[in-house]
Amino acid sequence: MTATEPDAAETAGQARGAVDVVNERPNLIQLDFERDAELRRDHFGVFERLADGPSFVYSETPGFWMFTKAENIEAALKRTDLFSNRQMSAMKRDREKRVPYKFIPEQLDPPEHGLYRKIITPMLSPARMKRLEPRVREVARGLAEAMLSAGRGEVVAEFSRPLVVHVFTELLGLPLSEANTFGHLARTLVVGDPNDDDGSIVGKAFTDLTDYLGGYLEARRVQPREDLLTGIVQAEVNGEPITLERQAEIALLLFVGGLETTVASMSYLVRHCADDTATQDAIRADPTLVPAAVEESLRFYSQISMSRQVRVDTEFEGCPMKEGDYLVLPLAAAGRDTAAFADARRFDLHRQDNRHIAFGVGPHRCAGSHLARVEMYAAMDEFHKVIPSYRHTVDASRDDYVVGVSGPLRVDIEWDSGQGTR
Amino acid sequence: MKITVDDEKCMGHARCYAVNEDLFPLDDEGYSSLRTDGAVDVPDAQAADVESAITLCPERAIERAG
Repeated sequence: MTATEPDAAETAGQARGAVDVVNERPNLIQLDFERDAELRRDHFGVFERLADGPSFVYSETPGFWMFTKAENIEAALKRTDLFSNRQMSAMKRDREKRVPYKFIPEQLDPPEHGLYRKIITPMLSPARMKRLEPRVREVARGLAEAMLSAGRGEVVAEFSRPLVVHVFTELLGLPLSEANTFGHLARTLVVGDPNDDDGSIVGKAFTDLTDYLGGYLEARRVQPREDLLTGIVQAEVNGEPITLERQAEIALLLFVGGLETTVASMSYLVRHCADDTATQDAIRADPTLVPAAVEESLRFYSQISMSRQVRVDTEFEGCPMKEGDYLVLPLAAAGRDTAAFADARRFDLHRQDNRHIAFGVGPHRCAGSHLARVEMYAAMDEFHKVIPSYRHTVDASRDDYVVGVSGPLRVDIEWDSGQGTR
Repeated sequence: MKITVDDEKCMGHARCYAVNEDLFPLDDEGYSSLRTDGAVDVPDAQAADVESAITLCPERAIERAG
């Protein structure tokens, strides 16, 4: 952790070390998600150091509290009475509302939240998602086989993203021919664009995606089908139909929640296995270990930093917060908290007590977790059945995007071609 | 042995269901069917699965009730 002169905080706009602690104020940090170079390079290391420090810190840029221990993060996620979801991002871009998005039910508080959540939970139940498994395997196998002969590949663009976009497109009921178009829009919306200084690129992606979904929602209203869009169109709250605008906000949440997060989770596991040959060999030799590898990867590479806004002046777990303050809850710190997990800083395929909270806890916990698990279990099994022992390429970058969600920008691997196991 | 699933705490993570579908069934929304049943009898032979489910539940919603 880098100690700096206090006035260093004023050099906004410069790439700095991630956590610059001003010595005399141990709870004060500088953690600018939108500009921080160290965060991109090694955010899990940053969150580990935060988890080893005070249980709460304050970042002056752009101004938010952060809880750093699993126990406090969990407790805060359950206290919807103290912490609101209405403004679900502490990022500067989102606070200034440069992009007028709204995601439902994520940005509602109880009790209204529950009325809308009830619409999506049955559509994404474990039993319904389990039925997708054969299709996930088929698509995953096809993508992996297409990579095989080249002897090298970039996993995010060639495997994780096309797989997730394909499965999601079919589930939602959109035409596969347009999958790449909205896959790209969803990526821009979640990951952002490095050239987007004023938010106009993300703003346009939001508008385009909303218009696009609005058109298909209207089509399903006229002619219902067996898909999630139809489910949204036919949904009722308190016995009343919901507006087209609300329907689009629900569909939009499925996009931002259902695509890049799963892409990142799979890509993290492959990137890990490119270094960790023992884990890679173990899951290839015994596919029944794949779920354990995925769960450990979810813990070790937890990718979401939740944001909440404080509803009333409160002192919570010793942290003095005012109404309107922002609170960031990094699940990466929770996953690597040595008080919550034995040997927390080690990826352990055989971990017995893996009670991770990578999908969150409390009323807003990820409603798509069952879809994500079916996709990851099946896809990682197929990937390792097709692609032989792999390693990072010499010039592989390990940089991540980190914007409240995180994920690898690229995962470049290589293997000896002509020795596929199928 | 008896167990309870707390109706207020269960958020439908389905980690218990992943341990043993028959022991921990879900309702149509994906929440534990046991959460409205009070104390539920479980055969002692299933103790290991019960312990796993208690450990894995992210909401700590499952408890032994004697």
